[in-house]
Amino acid sequence: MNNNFLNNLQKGFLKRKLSLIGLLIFSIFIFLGIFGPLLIPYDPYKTEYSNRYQLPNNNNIFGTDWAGRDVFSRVLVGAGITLKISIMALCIGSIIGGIIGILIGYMKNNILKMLVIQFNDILLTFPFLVLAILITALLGSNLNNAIIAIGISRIPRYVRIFCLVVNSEKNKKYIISATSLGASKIRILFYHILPNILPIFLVNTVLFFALTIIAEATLSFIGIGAQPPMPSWGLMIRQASENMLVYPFGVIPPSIAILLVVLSANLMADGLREFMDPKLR
Amino acid sequence: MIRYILIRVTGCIITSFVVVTIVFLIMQYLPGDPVHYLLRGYESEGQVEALRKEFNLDKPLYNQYYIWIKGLLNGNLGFSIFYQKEISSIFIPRFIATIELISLSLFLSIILGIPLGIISAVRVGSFEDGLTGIISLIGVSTPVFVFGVILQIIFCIYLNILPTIGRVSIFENIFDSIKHLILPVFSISLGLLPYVIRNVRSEMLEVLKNDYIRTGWAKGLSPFKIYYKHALRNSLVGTIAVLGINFGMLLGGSVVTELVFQWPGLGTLFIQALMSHDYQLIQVLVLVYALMFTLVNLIVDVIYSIIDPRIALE
Amino acid sequence: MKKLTLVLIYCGIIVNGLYANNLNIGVQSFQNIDPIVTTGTDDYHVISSIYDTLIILENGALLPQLATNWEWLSEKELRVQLRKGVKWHNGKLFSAEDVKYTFDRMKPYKTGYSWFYKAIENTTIINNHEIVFRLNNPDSQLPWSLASVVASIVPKLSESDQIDFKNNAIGTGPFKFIEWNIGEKLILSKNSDYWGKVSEIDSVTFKPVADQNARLLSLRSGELDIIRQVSPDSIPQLRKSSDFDVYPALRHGSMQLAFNFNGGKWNKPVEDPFKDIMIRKAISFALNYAELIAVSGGLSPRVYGPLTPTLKGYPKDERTVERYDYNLELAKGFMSLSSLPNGFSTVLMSPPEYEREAVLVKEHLKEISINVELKVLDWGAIIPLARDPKVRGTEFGMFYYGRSSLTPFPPGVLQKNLSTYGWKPNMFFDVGFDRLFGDVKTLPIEEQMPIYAAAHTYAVDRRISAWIYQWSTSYGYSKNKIDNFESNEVWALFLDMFRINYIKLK
Repeated sequence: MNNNFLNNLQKGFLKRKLSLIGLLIFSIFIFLGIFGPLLIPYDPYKTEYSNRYQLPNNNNIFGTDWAGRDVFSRVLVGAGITLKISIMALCIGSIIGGIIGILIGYMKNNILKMLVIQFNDILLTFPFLVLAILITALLGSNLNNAIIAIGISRIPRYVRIFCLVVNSEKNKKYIISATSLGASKIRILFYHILPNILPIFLVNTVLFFALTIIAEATLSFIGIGAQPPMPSWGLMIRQASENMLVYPFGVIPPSIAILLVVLSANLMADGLREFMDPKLR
Repeated sequence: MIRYILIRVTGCIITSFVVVTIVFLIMQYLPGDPVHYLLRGYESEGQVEALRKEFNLDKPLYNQYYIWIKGLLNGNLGFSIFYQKEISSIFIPRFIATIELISLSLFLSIILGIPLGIISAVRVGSFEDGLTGIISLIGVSTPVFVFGVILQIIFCIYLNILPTIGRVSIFENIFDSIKHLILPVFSISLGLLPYVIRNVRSEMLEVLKNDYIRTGWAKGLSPFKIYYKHALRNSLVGTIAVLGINFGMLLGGSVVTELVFQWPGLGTLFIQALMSHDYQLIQVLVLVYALMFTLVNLIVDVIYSIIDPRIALE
Repeated sequence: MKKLTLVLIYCGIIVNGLYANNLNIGVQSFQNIDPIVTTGTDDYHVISSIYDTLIILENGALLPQLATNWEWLSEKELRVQLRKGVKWHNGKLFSAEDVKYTFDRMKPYKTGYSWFYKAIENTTIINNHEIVFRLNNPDSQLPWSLASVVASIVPKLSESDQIDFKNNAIGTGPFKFIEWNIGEKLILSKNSDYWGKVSEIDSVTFKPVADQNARLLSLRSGELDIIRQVSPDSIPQLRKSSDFDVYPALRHGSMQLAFNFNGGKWNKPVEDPFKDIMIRKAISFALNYAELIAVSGGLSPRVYGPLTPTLKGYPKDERTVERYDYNLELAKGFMSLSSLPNGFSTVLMSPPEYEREAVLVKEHLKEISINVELKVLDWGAIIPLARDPKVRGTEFGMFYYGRSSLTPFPPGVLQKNLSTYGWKPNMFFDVGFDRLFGDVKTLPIEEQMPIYAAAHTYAVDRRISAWIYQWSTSYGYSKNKIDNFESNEVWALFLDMFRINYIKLK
């Protein structure tokens, strides 16, 4: 049907435009995350009690919080914190998950392997929050432990990715021929197999960013992540919600910040998926 | 079939016990002391030791473990140090409250998600589709508690038509009960909705391409029949799978939502137990969460195998 | 005919309901309602309404309650005569047996605040309305201790009638226990046979609402008539409105920033910067006390030492106690004179309730080059750190907390700063003070006062901590329903609690 074809084309174009917007916003986020501390108008930690609970005005673009601190500066510095957290958790998740996944992928198809994969699948869907709460309770309620908890929770997914790709590629003809030519396992791994992972890895990592931001915000909101006076977005929302009755506006800036960054990550992931799709097929 | 279920159920129980044993061991290394949390520094000499003795905290590890397991098998869930009560008496009403939230959220997600998914599939590329897409995107991109807090601000503070927090039992006052339920259930559903919508939409798109739909059109069947009868059946299966996969997320979301709305359920109980280092309570709750999780997976698998006999059972 | 009676009964109930005076009180949470087991202040509100004590403290004076008369027979013997004709809520008559049971039950003094009565060796029944307390050490403060709600008199019941005092109550007080749905409401109803002032309130419903904001909203909407602990930021708003007001109930204790003399491995560049009095004084001048008081609600009065004006022993001549207020220049001066003029870094520990104030303190101290790392921990995590002999004080440099006394007598407050007993945030060891806190209770009351005054003056002089404000609890209440919340008779107990039967409704 003609209509359908046009619709699909239009949709594809729109989608691509949206993903580009996502890319743009995400890049701004990364830029602010790195250079934010140089751009802030005020010290995000300095309290000015007489200036508390201001609505946005000429002095403070986003207003001030319960202690008179400039919210705009805090949001910017929060971007940096978020970026740092996501990258660190990403490293933990992908490196450990990758190693385990590759090892499992190389195993022979026996019962043990099946069990391990089954176990991994269960872990994939296990309620992350319960696990994270326990880990931070064990190690202490601070940001570093929250990062560890988030990183650990992403391991099953990376295990799955690496395992799947290694498993499916290792028996392919070109690998076998490379092995018979005398190429070492490691060389095969890095030169031939891993590049195939790149598309899925990329998409998952972008999604991972989105999830990490939400996860860190959630943990800080409960109180087991970032500790005051750190300007973590989740912590800011929590403090703002405690004063909801007196200053409801306080919730808005950090919420919008989280929403924008996660939204952009999701849009990017969608775009990447569309982009990578024909390659995967 | 029955054998399959039995095997899976035993698997459930074994997994949960393994989880709980691990948690028990973790508890021992947990920093913080429940007795001191209780006494808040106003204690006398010997009072701390006496309390620890009363709560069996001074016995060796395996002894404590044994006492606890034995109690579990007898239906005794243990003793909460913070609440100074048998856990069983605290547990049941909280469990009911959480089940209330979770089941209503699932229900709402299905009731809203399936029609929305179908509409956006049927009118691909239209305004409705775009709108649903945006709603899905926002739903996936916003943390659960942000939903909760913003809903609170809009409906409780500005419009002042709904209560901020708390729960009223259905048996007490049904209107009040519903008023307290609306916002928390909505918060949780908004997180699940996107997954249901997307799943239904993509499945419907696949189905709509099929020949038998074209045949239906040709036969002159009404759109309603085509969409809801033929297409729905397929999407239902997918929806159940999606909800099953995301059940973990649902549990996590319910914990945070309970916190935001001070809902007296297992989530707030869990957080309070953690804050007061109430080991026995934490153990029981983790066991319950693990059991719920594995059981739901089991149910989803079984339903799946019933609906679609093509799926191999092993 | 039957229908008519039903309708009449129904009308009667409605009419009754319209005229019945019910009070809804919002509290934070309940633990249990056993006077010697619980440590929760909200529980004590309930307990103080259901039970009576032997003696009551009113306007600073001890007055008879269930005891009509008491006198010291010797240094270690207190004879108490009991009121006749008092009935328990179950109809039984009150007698000496109940008093003996109440105090025997406290042994071995391991639960709640029962250790308060450790000095009582035994309780002897002379006759139905007379008992003698025999102490193992002289304790002239005993009558004040008997006024504490912890010593609420519980009934001696037969085995078949025995109830669990944690969830159930039979008392002699102005209100009867009706029911308690754990986690939800606790309901009391008026005791019309009360021997004392019968309340004009027919029933009281306590609702535990953990969230401060929710409590406030319920007060505003009329669901609750009185709430305990109004969130500090909302207090000014509430006071401005004509329908509501906030009453600050002062407690016998103060908030302090305690300095850890032991030092810790996390202090840099030296481990024990707080041994230097110049530094302690510098900090005491660097805190912006007005801000700290404002963020806590603005209703707490400033105090300068461990004793508050409400405690016995507070120096009569205030000029003998040094007043230190916010003076940044002076603070910088002291820092320059200290052993670390360029500042140092340290760790500040704080319970979650005072998180905001701790954040402010951190910023205040930045002005005098002291770099503070903030650790917010709950009591279950703090006390092991403070108490464990292995780590004793090696984790933190300063501790932001408050200490209040359970009676109008200071030893509890002073002990935490000035003796070697128990866990101490100051780690300030001066054995001379120990002797005093062992023997001081055995002295006659008049002789105890100068000792407390000297200890207080010494603590301030040595700046063992920087004291900030007097602890208070804020009660928000509806002016439309309640007539005079501030009436003095209401604050009849040593802690910041009120007895419900004294509340006058509009």
